[in-house]
Amino acid sequence: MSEYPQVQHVRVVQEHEKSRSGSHTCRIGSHISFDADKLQCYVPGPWEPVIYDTMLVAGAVEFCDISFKRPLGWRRAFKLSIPVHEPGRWNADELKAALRSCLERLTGDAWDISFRSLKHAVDSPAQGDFGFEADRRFKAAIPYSDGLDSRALAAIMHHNDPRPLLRIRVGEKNIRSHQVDDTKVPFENIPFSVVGLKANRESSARSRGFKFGLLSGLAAYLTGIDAIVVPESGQGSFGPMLVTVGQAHGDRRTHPEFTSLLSAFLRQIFEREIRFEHPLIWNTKGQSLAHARQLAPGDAIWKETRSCWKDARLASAGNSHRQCGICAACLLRRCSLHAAGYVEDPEMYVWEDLSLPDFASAAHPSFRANLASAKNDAIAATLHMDHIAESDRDYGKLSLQRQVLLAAEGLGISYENAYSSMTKLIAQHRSEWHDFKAAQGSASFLQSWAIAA
Amino acid sequence: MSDGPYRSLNMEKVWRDLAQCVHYPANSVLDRTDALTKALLRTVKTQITPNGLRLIVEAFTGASQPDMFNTVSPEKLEAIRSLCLPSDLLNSAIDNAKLAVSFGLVGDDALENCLNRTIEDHCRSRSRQIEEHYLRKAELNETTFEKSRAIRRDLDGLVTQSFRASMTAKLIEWGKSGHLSKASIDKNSLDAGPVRATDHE
Repeated sequence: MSEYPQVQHVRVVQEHEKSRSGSHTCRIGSHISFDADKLQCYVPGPWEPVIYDTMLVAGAVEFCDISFKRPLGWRRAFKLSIPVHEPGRWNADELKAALRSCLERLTGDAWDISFRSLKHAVDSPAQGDFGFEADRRFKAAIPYSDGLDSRALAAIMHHNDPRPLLRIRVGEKNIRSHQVDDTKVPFENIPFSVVGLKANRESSARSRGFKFGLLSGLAAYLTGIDAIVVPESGQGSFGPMLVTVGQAHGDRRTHPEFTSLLSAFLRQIFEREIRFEHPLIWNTKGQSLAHARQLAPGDAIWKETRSCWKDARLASAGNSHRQCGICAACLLRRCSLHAAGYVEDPEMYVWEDLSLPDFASAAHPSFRANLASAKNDAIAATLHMDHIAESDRDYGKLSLQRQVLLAAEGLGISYENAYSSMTKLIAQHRSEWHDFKAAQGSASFLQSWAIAA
Repeated sequence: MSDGPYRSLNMEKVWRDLAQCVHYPANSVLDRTDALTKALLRTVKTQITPNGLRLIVEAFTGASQPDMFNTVSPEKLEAIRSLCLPSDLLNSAIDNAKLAVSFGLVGDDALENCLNRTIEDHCRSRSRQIEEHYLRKAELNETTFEKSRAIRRDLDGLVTQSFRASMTAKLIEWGKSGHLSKASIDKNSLDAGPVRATDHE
């Protein structure tokens, strides 16, 4: 078995540009589709080619990430060539070093990226279609998934932070408007899609953090914003790094270690300081939701949001696409809503009742997807919650201290401050997880997998 | 009931071998420690690489110590990261080196502290995966829930202070001399390990 993975040569080409033998082709318009004009409407001045180039870089990285299966040892190697308007800017040593550092820490892969001139001119967009965006009144941006954390943060910031916020949605799902306290708030969707080379693609998708962060940074640059607010609570940001599993590269997608590296990369592209803020990072998701509930009572937050990543093929029951209720995202969601005092409608989930002793019979009778695969997800999710709950125990102290250092460096706070906050966060998570498990009863199938707390 | 849930572990062979060794109570602590040593040395070779290990060891003990107090700057440690292939274990080693420095440690003390932490970090990560795999197999009646707990407890139990000290000594020797002792090489069939492709272009 080769220890150094075969280098994947990938060449991004324009619509009518020829492919080159020896390289995988990533074609703009086929594999990567985005609407740079949409962002240009933020800019009252002339067309800025950096908009197009930045979106293309985000797309090219995602294309590589999802197109090639990982080997057992995790690491892949890419040699990627991207056509841009300004190769001089993108080939600068400092920028390339910042880009490589960002990507290698995030994905665990080796990246060698070079930039060349576009072969064919890209049409600049028509000017004059300025909406509310061009008034540049925003002071901070939120990458908005419309999930629990996004909603909680929006509610908290609406009451506690006077800065006008721009909500940014990256992807194909369009959110037309969003309501806070009966007021419609500014929202922008960035249409962006990437298709990998094969149907059987890599699913670890670490590069999603890069795409969301980079495009949020681009929107911030164009609107003159200097802060991007990350809505993730503590378990989501720190959890995957606190309790890594096997040889998998630690997931840093919303970790401050990664966002500080991304901020350094944005400085190289835009020659401006754009920082990432993590206002909820020392809260459990349950604490964030409890706070949001005080400020914005009602059940919309759980009725209108999804946490589950599974599509209708994997999580349908009773003739509707539900949330599975047992994957890592669902288990954290249910535990957190329970901690915040919400009582959900169990019909939100395929696994409506977690108190039953048998996993299979706890699924909705109409569930037809792969039960074994769902059970594997449920075991991994239960252990993840359990392992976070015990991550400050004596035998894990050495590992915990490293995570405290990473948090302190990423957030720019002292080690002592980070240590105190991290141990409180873990203790709070342990308490919420313990209560949630207890609420399911001693016969619950969860109890046979979980041991902590 | 299957006799070998470790067979289908989605891990490198050396880690499956370790799980197999720990699975059977008849194997002695010495056998298990040998299997863990082999797994770790193999992983250091592929993930940190001998070159990365040399750079880390040299940063703390080499002739080019930057000042009379033997302190190593975080920037110098970050530079090592950029010279090596990315990996979780390398990140752990660099982070832990910075942590040791931030605690005021220097020279051999800092290096030992760094490697101690790195070994601990990685072993915990591996034992979590083995536990998860065993639980899945317990659901299929290929093992038991008790065995799932026991195998993680036994794996974690191998990573004692004295084991870490012994492992750290091996790694420091490897980093200083560029090779493992003959006994280790014979036992583990280790070669030079991977290098960053772009470094040679």
